[in-house]
Amino acid sequence: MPAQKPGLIRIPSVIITLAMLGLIAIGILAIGKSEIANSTTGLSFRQTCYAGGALVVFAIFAVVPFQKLSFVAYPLFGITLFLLVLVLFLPPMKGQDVRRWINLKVINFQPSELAKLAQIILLAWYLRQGSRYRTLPGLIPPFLLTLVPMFLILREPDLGTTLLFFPLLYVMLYMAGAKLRHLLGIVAVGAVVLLMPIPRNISNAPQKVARERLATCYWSSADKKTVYAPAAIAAMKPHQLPRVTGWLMQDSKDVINDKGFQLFHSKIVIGTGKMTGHDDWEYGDTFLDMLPEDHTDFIFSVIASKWGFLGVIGVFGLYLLIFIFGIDIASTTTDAFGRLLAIGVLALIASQFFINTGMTMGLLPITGMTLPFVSFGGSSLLINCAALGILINVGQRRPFITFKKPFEHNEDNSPAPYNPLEASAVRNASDE
Amino acid sequence: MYKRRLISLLCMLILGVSVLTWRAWQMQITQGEQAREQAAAMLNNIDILDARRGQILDRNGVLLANETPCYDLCFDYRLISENKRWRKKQIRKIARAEKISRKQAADIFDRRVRNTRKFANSLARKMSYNLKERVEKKIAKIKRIRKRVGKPIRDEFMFHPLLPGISKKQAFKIREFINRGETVGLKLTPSTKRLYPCKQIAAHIIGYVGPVYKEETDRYNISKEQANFTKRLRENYRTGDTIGKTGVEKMCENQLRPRRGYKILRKGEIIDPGIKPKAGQNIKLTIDIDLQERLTALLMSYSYSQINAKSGVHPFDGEPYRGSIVIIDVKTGDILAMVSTPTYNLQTTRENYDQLLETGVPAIERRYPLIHRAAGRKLPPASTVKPFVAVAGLSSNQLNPTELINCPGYTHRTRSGSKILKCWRYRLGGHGHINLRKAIKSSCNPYFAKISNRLGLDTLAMWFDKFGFGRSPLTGLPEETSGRVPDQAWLDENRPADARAPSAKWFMSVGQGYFSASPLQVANAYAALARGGDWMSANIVLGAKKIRKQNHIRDEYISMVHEAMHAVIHERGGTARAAFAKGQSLGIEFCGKTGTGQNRIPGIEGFAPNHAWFAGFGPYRNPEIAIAVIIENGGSGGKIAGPVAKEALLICQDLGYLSQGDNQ
Repeated sequence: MPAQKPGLIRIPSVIITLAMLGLIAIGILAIGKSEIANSTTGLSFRQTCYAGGALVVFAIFAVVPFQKLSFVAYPLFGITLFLLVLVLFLPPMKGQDVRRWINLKVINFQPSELAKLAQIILLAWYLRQGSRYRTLPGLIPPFLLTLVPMFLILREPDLGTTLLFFPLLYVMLYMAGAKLRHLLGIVAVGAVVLLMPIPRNISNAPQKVARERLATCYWSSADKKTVYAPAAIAAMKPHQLPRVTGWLMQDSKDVINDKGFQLFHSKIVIGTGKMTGHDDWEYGDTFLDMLPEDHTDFIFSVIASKWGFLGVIGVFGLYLLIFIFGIDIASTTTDAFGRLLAIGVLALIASQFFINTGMTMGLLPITGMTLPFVSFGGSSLLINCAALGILINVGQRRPFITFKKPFEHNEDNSPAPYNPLEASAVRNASDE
Repeated sequence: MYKRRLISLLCMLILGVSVLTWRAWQMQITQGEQAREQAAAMLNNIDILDARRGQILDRNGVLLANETPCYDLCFDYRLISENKRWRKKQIRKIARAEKISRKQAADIFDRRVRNTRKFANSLARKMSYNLKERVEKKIAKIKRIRKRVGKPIRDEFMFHPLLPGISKKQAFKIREFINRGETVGLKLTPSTKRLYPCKQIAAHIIGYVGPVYKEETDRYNISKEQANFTKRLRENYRTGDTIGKTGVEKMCENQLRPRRGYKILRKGEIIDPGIKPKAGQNIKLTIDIDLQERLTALLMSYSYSQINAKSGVHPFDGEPYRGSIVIIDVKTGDILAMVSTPTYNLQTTRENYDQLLETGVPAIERRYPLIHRAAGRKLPPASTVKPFVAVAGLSSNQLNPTELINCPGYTHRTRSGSKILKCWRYRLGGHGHINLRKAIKSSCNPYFAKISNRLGLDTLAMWFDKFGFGRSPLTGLPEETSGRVPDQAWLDENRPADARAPSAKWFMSVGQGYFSASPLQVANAYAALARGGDWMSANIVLGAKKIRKQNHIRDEYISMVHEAMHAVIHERGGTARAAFAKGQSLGIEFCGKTGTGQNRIPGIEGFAPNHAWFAGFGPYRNPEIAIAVIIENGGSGGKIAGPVAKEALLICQDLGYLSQGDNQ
């Protein structure tokens, strides 16, 4: 690969930026469509304003050398934790029993969004050197660093964002070179714990709850008083369980007016898009009106409805461009911190993308997850743009010169002995 | 290693996007058309079309029940229950809309509530509703349900029709008032009202309607599996629908009830005309409402205080007669009138239902106005069954009409000396040796008891059955009873202690004991006798299918019995002679039979005053109508029921149902 001078704009950065702008534009148009269907106004204008602000942030993150982030890794993490604790003590949004937002008058700021970014920077900084995490005890610190904010976000409660931290941690650990058998082993243990049958007495539960518990259990005792359900189900809050059952029973007609309402309408809206979509089509509009959260979590349904399968392919293509060129950046850069930042950003955007589209199309249970760059929402857009700015930044920077290519560990755990000849060879190779 | 992992990560991302693309293809391309169809089907707005319930008319076309459109004034539950949260919300709404402070808005709101109250109260007074009581009842009911359900129920946020039945003219004014915006929580909804212009006349026959209950929908509604949408729409009841609860309203529910139609609209345009609604059919009754009204008035004009009670004051002292008059057209089997008193006002049944049910009233004071006494009350038919015993005896060749049978005043003397089934002439030493004619004329008990000895219980029961006793009169009225003829099988099963006693036959032959029949059955049996023995179903609906059962009784036997019954009225010593001879003469020859039925009144110890019966038909040679009159606990049949029957017959003559005599 030819040597690049710093400051020169590189093709991956351009393509990723264009893809991001395309997604934001599609998002604003789709929000406009959902506005018409719901006969509300001002949302797409507000999103445009947010986009303007987000682009400024994007530019800042893209220009200021990413190495400077290393200085803020721990302070930012600390601030995030403080905000996450603070938000639990603020009064909840009216009419809801969730405490996710800090009202900043201009926008409602979500600390959990900031936590995603802080987590990426922190993990990238923590994992950038050494190979401690290639041992099982060495995995404890990164897991702990992830579990603390996760726990706080779970208390809000915001299960969707909480679950997002796992792919982040896993992808970053995987790319940093943690041993696959350790990672898979932890997943296996987690799965066993979460799917462990837990007996639960439902004889005193309200009828509706009891019915749901019966529907999601492995088996029940003969008198239907004790159910053996997975531990994850047993730990779920009353408002979360219906989402799971609604997803599991999505093809049954019984749930479409109840717990499967959102998914059913999402599927109808997507399906009516067909190949090219429809614009002024009464079915689409009416159903969009009936689809809750169609400008935030279910914006993908709007796109699929208005621009059809082609629109869906277009959105997927833009994301795929970001993924491919993001991977390219991650592979080109030789800086350890930069690599992990790039990987973290990719993991963040990819997980949000997969979870959101998966849930709107009925492949995953519904969790509150936005589609990055597209969904309405200031803090989400801001954080995602900042993250992508970091990715571009990494792509633009000349790497620090290191003696050893990062993360090229030997299969045995001992670090390779220093060999000046090999080091120079490595240096030469990286400077090619 | 890093590159390898990077490539695997890229592969996973691409794989993920491929899965999503496959899913999108499946949903949009493979199943897209289905999704559009499904969406279209869900968007179609089905407009349900209602129709009118059928009318009920009398035989001359006089309106007995009619459905008229009206309006209900509905009140928001949160208004009547003075919900504080609702008040706050409303005040906030006003404050926002008018851009004024909360306090000013609160003043405005309170003024509106006051206005609403004032308006509702004045309207209620005008319509003679007790609004306060209705509101209290409603709140109590909803609170009860709320407590049972344990969470907020829909009714707490709904409008409730507390002032129903507002006329169109009045509704126009009310709407104008509501539109002025100085009221809160009021709504006018179109509704229908069943009007019963005759009020308490023939109330038991016509019956009343009410909102359909859950039990009824469970019972009558067809499930999804059994029928398609159209059939279910037409046949099924919905919450709030009207259904006949009693009388003809219930009996002819199928004809009277309207069938819904529908049309499918999208954006206000009809895309499927669907099916038209079908109004309920009109039902014409065989009742002549004039006759019914005059007979009701006749029965109500007598009072128990007029009865000269031997042993102190009559338990029903001061009340008008409780009883019934049934008049049946002999030739067609049509019921011309079927009076049952006490009666109730159909128009206000629902409002006064608790009162009519008489819950909490001591048994002795209860009047049971809701009971259809004529068709639904089981009473001992007493001596009115004697002509049928005579026909049975004659037809089974067990009775020679000229044979003299001794009546010592009782039927049987036990070893201890007590006498069973005494004759009414017991104190005068009985009737002595008498023949059939005299036995019917003077209503001799031992004579018929002795005949029953010859016939046996089951032969007797068979003959009673031929005249419709123990069998439904087949009017179709939900209240009608079959009565009971206690044959051997019934006695063995239900009263084994009395089953083999000879007295079972004796009591049966004089219409006592476990024998029971409704006045309608008695009247119909007499109509059969008048017809020459052929039983016909009694009709309440004009033009209904008639069921006729030929009994093939020899004419000479029939005429023998007719002759004896003629003597009951027109000969010296006849039990009804005194009643018919007094006052204005009928001018025609009539046949009849009196009866005095022993009974018990619930709540009173021992034997109560007897039921007074009169049953008959006429004119003698060419019978036109059959009549049954019963005055419950009235006493002697000849003295109490006889005069009523005669007056009733005079009314029939007046209205042309009974031919007038020459010497009028």
